[in-house]
Amino acid sequence: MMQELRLALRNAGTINPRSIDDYITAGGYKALTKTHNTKQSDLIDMLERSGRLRGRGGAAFNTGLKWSSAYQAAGTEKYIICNADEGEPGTYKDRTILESDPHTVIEGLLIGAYAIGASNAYIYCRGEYREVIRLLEDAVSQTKQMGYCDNVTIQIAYGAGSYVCGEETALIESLEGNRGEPRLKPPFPTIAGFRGKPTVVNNVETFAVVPLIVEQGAEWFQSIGAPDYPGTKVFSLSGDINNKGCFEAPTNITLHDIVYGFGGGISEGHRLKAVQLGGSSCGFLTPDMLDLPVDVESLRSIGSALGSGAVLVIDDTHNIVDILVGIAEFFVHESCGKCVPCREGTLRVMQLLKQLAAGQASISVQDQLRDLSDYMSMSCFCPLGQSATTALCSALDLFKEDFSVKLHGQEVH
Amino acid sequence: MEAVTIIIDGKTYSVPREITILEAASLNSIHIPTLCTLKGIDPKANCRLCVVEIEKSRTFMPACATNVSDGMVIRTNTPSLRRSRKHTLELLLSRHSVDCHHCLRIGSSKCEDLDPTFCEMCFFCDCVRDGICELQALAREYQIDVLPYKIDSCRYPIDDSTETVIRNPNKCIKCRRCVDICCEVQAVNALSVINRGKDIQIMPEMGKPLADSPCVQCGRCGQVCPTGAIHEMEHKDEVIYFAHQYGMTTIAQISFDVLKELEALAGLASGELDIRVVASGLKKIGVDVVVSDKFASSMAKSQAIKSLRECIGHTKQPIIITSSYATKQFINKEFASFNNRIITYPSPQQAFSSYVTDIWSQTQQLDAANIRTISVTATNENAAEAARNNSVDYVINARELYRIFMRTGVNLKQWTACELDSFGEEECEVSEFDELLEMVEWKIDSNIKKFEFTVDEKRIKAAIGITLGHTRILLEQVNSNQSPYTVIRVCA
Repeated sequence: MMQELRLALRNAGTINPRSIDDYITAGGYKALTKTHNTKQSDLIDMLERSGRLRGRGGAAFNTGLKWSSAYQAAGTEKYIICNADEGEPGTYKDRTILESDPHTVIEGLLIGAYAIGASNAYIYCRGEYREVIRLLEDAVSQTKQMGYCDNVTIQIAYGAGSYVCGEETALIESLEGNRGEPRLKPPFPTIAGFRGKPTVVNNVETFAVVPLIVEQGAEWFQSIGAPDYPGTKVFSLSGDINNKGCFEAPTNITLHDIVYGFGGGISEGHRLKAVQLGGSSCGFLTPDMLDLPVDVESLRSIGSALGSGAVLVIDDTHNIVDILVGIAEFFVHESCGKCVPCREGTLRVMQLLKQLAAGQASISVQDQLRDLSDYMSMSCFCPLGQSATTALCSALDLFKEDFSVKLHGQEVH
Repeated sequence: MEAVTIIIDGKTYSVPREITILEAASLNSIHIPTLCTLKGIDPKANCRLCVVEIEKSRTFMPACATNVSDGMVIRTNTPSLRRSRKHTLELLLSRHSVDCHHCLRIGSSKCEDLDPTFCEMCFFCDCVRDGICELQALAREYQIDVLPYKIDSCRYPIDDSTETVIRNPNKCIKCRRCVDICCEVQAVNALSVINRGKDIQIMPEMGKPLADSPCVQCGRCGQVCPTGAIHEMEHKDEVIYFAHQYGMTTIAQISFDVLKELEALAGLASGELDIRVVASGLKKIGVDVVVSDKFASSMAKSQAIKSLRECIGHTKQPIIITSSYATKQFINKEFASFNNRIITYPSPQQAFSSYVTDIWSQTQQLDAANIRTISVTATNENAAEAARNNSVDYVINARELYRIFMRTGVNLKQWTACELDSFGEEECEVSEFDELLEMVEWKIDSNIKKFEFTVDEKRIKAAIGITLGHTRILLEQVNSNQSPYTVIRVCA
């Protein structure tokens, strides 16, 4: 079985997160000092080509590519933002990283700021993470006192409880003080982002491993995990599983190892029914798909996605329709209301699923749900609406019997 | 400009770079339905009706917000696009109070239930936009028949607090055109988007009624609303009632600016509609006297000229002049220090009303109490003035007049003209202020009009603010002593 390998969480539990001295003793801020003696283009080159660090927030975009786009963009006023607006249900990796080691994220952010030439950095934190916000504010002022961020101003901003603000353009809108609604792309933020200036937005976990790559080199990072998606991933385990919690492993780990190894399997007397990998906007996987490595490319080959690394384990006591009602309610609550398909579509999907869950749906409900899902995935403005029914679609394919049980008014046990 | 080659629906077109697919399509007479986009305002891509297929694109793309690129292959009307648009319309309509023509008398919306003997005279039944509604037109085009969802409408109270601009949230499709106009073009910032998701609403901040908001009743929001969610207060029932009442004299003034909109509504070519046809239509429904606004306009103009001559050269500060009630309200709310400085002159509507009550009623030996004045005008900005100051009794805009004509069988395409009545010869004084006082047309993408004219051999710098956004810019310049103008005329 695969062992845990901690990169982003390398200092978790071994240092005091409130102490910058602890972090420095553990080797912190060495990478930043090293960075300042490297040319910006060399640094980005290393990340882009040899390092191939891909975004850990869900979209898995090549970080170096993002940085080089912002670096090459015209103008001297540039921004870098750390996306700590972790809102995906079942995901709590960013919180774990920030609570146990805020300085590694700040160091990564400062390296990024140097690389693209930004003199202003923001950490946009989920508003509900009050403790994290306090921790970050302390950490930033310590960094300032120690003189690590003389050329960069770091500010902490926080959201007001909106899931869509985790989408980078909505995050930027929110940061500017507007309604948290996504923007039209193009232009992409690396060309015209915050205040219309080149802006890089990266996830907490991405920034957390940047110092290590700088320190230990691209070849070292490349040798870990799957070749197309090197490095490690922090997984958040929840649901009907014995060990709930966060752990970090190389990206070539299989789901089977996650669920039965780190997760300790599911409780006695129950069968595994499904795993929802990546959060509410991703599809379900059945027990026979567990032997696949969880890197982005392997999952893409079966039409699934790694997303934020949330692993929701569902056992056979649940009807999948009931799970879907919860997901649908989440999306109704989180739709920003900008475009018609998402605003009205999520509402109707929820109503239809609730009817189905209560055994009051008509026989055509599955076709209607499928129709609405296809429509929303093609016509919604942003990824929130486009993926709001991914779970529903995969459930319609994988768990036909659960739907027919609900249609005929009996519960399964 | 550099050109790119694109393929729309199998045909190759050469179009300028840097334009959107929607613009490229309309340049080549290809129809793509829209509900939220407005020419002159950055596209928002909210309604998703203009979605098109682009080869190699994973999802449908909004035509209003996607720029063309060389070699782009676009399809605008495939079965799956039509299905998507139909879904959008079904979703919108199932949370929209679909009372396009709902008869309260018999409690039904079905055409076959309506009683033709009542229909001609009863005006209580229909939506203000019935027949001229963008949503209704699309619903017909896409054959929306049975809505597959639970109908959910009519939950919010109607805001009629201003008595001129009426907001009916139950018909709102949240396209946000009104917000864009109110905040970006008019710079009034009365309307905003509140709540999120399914509960999203367009209303003044904190859910206040319009009367307690910065709203100045310029009425431009209603002008761009695709449905009946924001509209001017209607007076057609009263107009019809008094037009038919014995012993009551109704007198209407038609402003020339309604002709353009009426032409568009009636499907006539530009310049094809004669004001005398409109007058004849009004007479058919029983209006006794119909005049054009020429007489009142020149009356109003000569008052303006008089005031201008009095103060030009006598003050160092820029002269601010307006005849618009909405603008006066705007200055009152946003630039209160200017209140005593602005020179106001009557709008044609005010001049008409005072002439009728003070002079015309005497010459005709009529009791003013038995006269009802009706102003037919395209500019909504003075409707509030009539409601507050009782200058004219009823203000009717082109849309309302068109609806009255539809219901009373006045077909503007076939109607015979009649001569207009007249108050007498209007004085056509040619003055140095003609350019300053000429009629301006409110447009979304208009610019501040800057020009010079000569008074007493002195060159005078002047500016006309066409929108309230311009007004704000011009007055802020005055406020900071940076205004280069001697005379500023502001409109709404």
